[in-house]
Amino acid sequence: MAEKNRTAMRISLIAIMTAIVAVFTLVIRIPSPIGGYISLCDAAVTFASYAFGPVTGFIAGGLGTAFADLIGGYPQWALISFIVHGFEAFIIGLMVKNGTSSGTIKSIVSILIGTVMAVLAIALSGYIFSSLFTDGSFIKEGSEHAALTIALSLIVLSIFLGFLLKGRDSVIAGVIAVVLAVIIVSLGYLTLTTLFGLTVVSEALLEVPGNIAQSSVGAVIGLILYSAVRKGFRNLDTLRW
Amino acid sequence: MNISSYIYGTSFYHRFDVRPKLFFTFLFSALSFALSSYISVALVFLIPIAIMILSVGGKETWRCYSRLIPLFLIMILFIPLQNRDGNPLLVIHGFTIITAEGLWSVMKIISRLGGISGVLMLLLLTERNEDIIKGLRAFHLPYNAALAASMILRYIPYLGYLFSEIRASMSLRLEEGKRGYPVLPSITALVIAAIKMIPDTASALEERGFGRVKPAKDAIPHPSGYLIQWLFGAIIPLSLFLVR
Repeated sequence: MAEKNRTAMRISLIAIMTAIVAVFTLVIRIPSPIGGYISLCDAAVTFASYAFGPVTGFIAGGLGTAFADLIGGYPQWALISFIVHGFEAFIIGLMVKNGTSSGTIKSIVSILIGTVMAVLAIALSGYIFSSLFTDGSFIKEGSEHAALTIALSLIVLSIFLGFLLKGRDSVIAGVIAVVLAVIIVSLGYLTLTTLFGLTVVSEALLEVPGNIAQSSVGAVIGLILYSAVRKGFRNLDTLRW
Repeated sequence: MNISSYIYGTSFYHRFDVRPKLFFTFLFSALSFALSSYISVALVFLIPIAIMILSVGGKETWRCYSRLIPLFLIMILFIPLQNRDGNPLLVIHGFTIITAEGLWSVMKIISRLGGISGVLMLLLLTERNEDIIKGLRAFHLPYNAALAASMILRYIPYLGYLFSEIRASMSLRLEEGKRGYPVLPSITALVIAAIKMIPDTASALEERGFGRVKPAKDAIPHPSGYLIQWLFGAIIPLSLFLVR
């Protein structure tokens, strides 16, 4: 009977958190200073994984963004969003111990340092492969394969580091969690949209800076949201599984 | 907040059973990666458009595909410039604008994007969300997963409406003349309200017999022409694979 009670609670938790992620993606938008809008999907995904752990984060984050794509008229990106945001939430959830990170200020500093490190890592990768595989032009056919190889390697490395550092509650773990999340989102979209044949690397690269900005801003807001919600709902940790 | 794309109709595609429709959607999407000729490229792009026009009309078809036009334009601009080695088709003042290989690349990518988007949009336009979940149950989607999916589809519009109410009340707290709303308090209030629903939702499920009563099988009766619908769902995508 206790197991069935938990199943009902888990299904309710997943359904409501998935709906929250979808609403954050579809409805809640902040005007961007450079034009367009920043969607808060990464904030909801980060919150779900901080508050409820990697499994809930994976399902809610992945399904929520996939549902948002289906409802919003972009069904071709639903599977990619599911994979990218699902793994983003999974890694963040793994890195955070028992739903508590290293304190709000330290974690915000972690996120900012993490974003800078992620940008440097991606820029360094781009410089290395363009130097090794091109004759001066930015992207040629061979370097597209190299770019995909490097992107896939970084993602696999991210997931490996996530498991290795699981549960370490420290500023370093916070920094690495954000670096991994930003890498997974930005390079995940780059890799999967090109692998699924929806676009080519050179066009997908144009979206990397926007994805980096959105995922890092979303992670900051998600953390602040988590701190605020914990004050209003003190039994939050009882819902983790 | 309307999350359903369904448009009522009596076209032949509307009358299709959801199971062959799902099969057609997934098989068409998968085989659109096996394009090997200009004819198959054209078919992948045009078949969903033709079915959509016959099912929901030209205006709705244009509304769906117009969202993809910016992406198509970016692809037309960038992809040929990345494939300038090969048989040149257009050369201006010694600069190769497009080659045969570049043209093939751009047509393949645009066709695939348009084709996959088209069949997915077609499914959502001609089938209700709850019927799609029933169809997935027929393909052995677990009961708990189907239950969670239907709950998600119920909660999304409700939480969207709740957020609009919270946003409106929060905007009243701003100073006179200021526009907008305080974002963080609004999203915090929404998330807290949602989390407080979780135990009540779980209790409601248990009161309705979740975990105690075995769920009834969702038996969808076979409509007339069921076999023909399956044949349609298989033959059209496979023809793309066979066209050379």
